[in-house]
Amino acid sequence: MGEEFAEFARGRHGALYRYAYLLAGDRGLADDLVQEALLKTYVAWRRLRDPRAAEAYTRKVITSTAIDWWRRKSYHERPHDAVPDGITPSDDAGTRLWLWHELLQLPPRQRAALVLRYYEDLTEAQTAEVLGCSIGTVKSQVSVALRKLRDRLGDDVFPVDLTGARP
Amino acid sequence: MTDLLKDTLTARAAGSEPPPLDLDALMATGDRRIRRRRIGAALGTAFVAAAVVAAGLVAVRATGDQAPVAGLPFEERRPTYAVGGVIHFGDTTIDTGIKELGQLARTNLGFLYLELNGTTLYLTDGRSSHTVAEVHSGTELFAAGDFAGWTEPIQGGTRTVVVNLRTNQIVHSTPTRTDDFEPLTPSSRRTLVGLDDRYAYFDSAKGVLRVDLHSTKSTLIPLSGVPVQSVAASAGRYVFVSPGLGTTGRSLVLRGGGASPGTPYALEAFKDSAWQAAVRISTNGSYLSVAPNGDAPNLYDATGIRLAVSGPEPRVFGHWLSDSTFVAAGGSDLLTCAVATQVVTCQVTAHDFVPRDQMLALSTN
Repeated sequence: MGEEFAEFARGRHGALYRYAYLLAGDRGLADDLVQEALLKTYVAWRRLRDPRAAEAYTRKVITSTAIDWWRRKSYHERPHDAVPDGITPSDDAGTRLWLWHELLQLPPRQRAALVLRYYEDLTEAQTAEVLGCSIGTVKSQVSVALRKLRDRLGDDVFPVDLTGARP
Repeated sequence: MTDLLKDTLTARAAGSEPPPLDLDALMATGDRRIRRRRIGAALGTAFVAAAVVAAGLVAVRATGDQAPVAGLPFEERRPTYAVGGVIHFGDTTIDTGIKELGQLARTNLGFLYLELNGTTLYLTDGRSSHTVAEVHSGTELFAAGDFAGWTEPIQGGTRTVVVNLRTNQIVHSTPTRTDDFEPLTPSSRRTLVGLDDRYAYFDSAKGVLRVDLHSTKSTLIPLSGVPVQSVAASAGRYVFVSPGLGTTGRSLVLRGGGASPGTPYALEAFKDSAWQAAVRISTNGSYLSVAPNGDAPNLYDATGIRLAVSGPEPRVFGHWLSDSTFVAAGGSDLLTCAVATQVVTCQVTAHDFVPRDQMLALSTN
């Protein structure tokens, strides 16, 4: 059990950490999320058996823990990498910085839905499984999140097709 | 449009280098958690039903149909534990209405508890329960008299809070009183390592920082000439990890005394960097229990002499009932143990006291 888990943890730690970082927007918190999720995965290892199930389980724990953490924080307490003053979305780098900042302002479930769909490339069904909700809820979360981003960043910068989420 | 979003997420992810993974420490912590669960699952079969009827169930749940018990003598030290969501305080039971308790501690105002893997800290007096605080997963809970304290992991470190439950006021929290502590560095720790009726004890790089709960005056108790990590403190006893006392590895060390601790006594030696121990000091500091890495407890007196055990072996330490008696779980039984002439004698208080597939949480005080 120990060797199998160690192989899984070593092999997937980097990917899980990057996923946690996109959810949390903070490196320290991402590390905490991954540590706690891997710990729970280790405890549940015998039940999980299949490494693919283990990764899905770990990702689910990271997601639910991150959402739970955000729920208990007011918006102004939320940590994130600072956006330098004076930067406007006039080029790709600036646009990405602004977009990152705006992503961090989204409610946690909406942000998680976007990360799962557009970074992890999960289907709507897989995203629903990780978030513990229906496919319809995933669609609406993604749609609302994209609309907010477009409203904040403007059509010129972010000409969003609101139906653009993949089936 | 999704390309920009994908690019942004991918660039951010690529720029976040993961920190090193301490797999040994993680698995050691996991093993301890597994052992605790197995104890809960393995203990007992069907003892509790009759006991609950005899004791009278106190229903905290709004849907409960049992009469609540008023004015319980919480100041008394009785065998206290939770099976599933039901707290046992001597012969009295309190149903918290939740499925499984993860941590339990007694105060003068009732019982503090956390749900297993939960993040809401509750206090119940047997008639009702209310939320004391929202905490992070991994919080370690302390309680004594009217006070409760906890250290919780937060981003980049830990946060410690001590509250007076009677006045509902925060007595101490870190890092708000930074003048009491060394500058915060990655290696400095601000964890609560002990709480008694008078003081809260914090780990610090130079020793134990003892904070008077009533005056909030703080005193640094130097433990050694080298950086140490405090593990436990109360009743004038300090237990800490030190780089060896004549050994090649490190040692768990006990010191007594007041503001100037006396002779150090090595309790346990170890080399594993992931080594941890749960330490419980008796009410007046005459004895202490040391459970290394989630294993069965070793009992010591105040001069570091390890005590022999007679009778059923305690497997999981619960809490001290007095300066020389304590509650523990052994096999499938609830034990009460007494120390006399450097021998611990244990006897069974209840056989098979945890139904199969239910979790046991022993009170920490």
